[in-house]
Amino acid sequence: MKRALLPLTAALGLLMGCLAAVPPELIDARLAFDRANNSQTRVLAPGELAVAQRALNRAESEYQRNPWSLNARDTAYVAQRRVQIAESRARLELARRDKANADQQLAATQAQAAGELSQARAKLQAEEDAKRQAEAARQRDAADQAERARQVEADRVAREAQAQRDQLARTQAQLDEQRAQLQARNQELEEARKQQAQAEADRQAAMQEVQRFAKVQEEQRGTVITLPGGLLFAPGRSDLSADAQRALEQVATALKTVSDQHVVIEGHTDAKGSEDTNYELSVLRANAVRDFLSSRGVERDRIEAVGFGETRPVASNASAEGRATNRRVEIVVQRGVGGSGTQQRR
Amino acid sequence: MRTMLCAAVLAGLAGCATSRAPLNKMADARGEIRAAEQLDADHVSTASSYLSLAREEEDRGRRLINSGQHRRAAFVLERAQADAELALALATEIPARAEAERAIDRVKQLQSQVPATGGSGVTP
Repeated sequence: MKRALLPLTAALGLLMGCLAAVPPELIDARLAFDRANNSQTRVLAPGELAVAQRALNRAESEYQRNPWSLNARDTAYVAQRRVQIAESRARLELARRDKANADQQLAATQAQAAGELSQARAKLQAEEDAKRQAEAARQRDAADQAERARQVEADRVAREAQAQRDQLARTQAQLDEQRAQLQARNQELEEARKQQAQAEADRQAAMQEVQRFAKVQEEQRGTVITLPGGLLFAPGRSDLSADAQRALEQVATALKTVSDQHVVIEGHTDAKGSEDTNYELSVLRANAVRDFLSSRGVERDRIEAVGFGETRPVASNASAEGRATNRRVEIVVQRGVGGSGTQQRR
Repeated sequence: MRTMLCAAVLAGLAGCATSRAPLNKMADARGEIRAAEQLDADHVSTASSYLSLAREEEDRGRRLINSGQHRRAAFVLERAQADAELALALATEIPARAEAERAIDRVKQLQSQVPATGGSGVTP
């Protein structure tokens, strides 16, 4: 009986083992391994996953040997941890790769940024250089332009200064010339004054000589020199006597001192005889005086000879003394110029 | 039958009692825990919980050894070692991922500052 129960007990135990519930640790380990084996863990942490697989196989063996043993649960627990360790290693590897990739990208980005910064700096430097060069060129142009303008202005000022100097020289020359002319004019004037003074002195001297035998008086029509007829002509005649010529010499000398004044020689007679005869005689006597004065240097064209006959008596013809006074030749030195030596009856 | 079962249990107990203490597994678990601690796993989320489990299991394995249950202690210490290794892996992975994310963020930030000149964006 006891021998018959032993196989039965063994078979019952085996059946109970087969029917025993799988430990949750083993279930979790299996699921974890399947999850890891179908993920990147197999690529990223193959060594650790192999360790986990061996741990799982060991757990399976323990479970097969004794499903109820704590050892089976412990080995399943360990197997699950091995799977977790493998997954962690895979994540670590992935993180390291991400880190390396990020570092690489960081370096590349930094290099790119450095390159772009360098390019930007170079571009900025080039722009600044271009600006500086442009500014320098602008300043050079401005300086050149200013220099040209200054040169033009200097040339203009020099031209103007030269023109002013030339003008000044011309003005100075004109002034010198005018001074010379003025000096010459002054000399001329001085000479003229001297000549005039000399002429005046000569005239006065001549007049004083004339006044010894003639009457000289100032009238409105001018200086009137009255020569008595008895001094110049014999009765009824018109030729000059020697005494008359000497007296007229003095008159000519006096008239030559007033060469710019017109001279009128008036012949007058008394009322004895016919009027026509007297007129004719007065004209002949005036002409004789004129001719003589002309022959003595008095310009003929400023001497006018006029016969008045008996028409302008200065005294009564009733007495011999009065008739002697009326027989006369008056030489009128007029103020001012003009007239000719033509004969006319007044 | 009862005799046979008793004999089997005694034999198992004898096996346990007579096997050598899993000091190498204890050393392995301790080494992994220390490595995780040195990596500051206590201050890394998720890693710290596994490190705590590893310490508890190490302590439990030590108690099992002290009670003479060497075979059982070996399995518990394997759990402690596995938890400590997982804590170590997570303490390594999580800062690395954070560092990778920071690097990616730096790239994105720099790329946003640098005008695009035909380059590609961040490709994690």
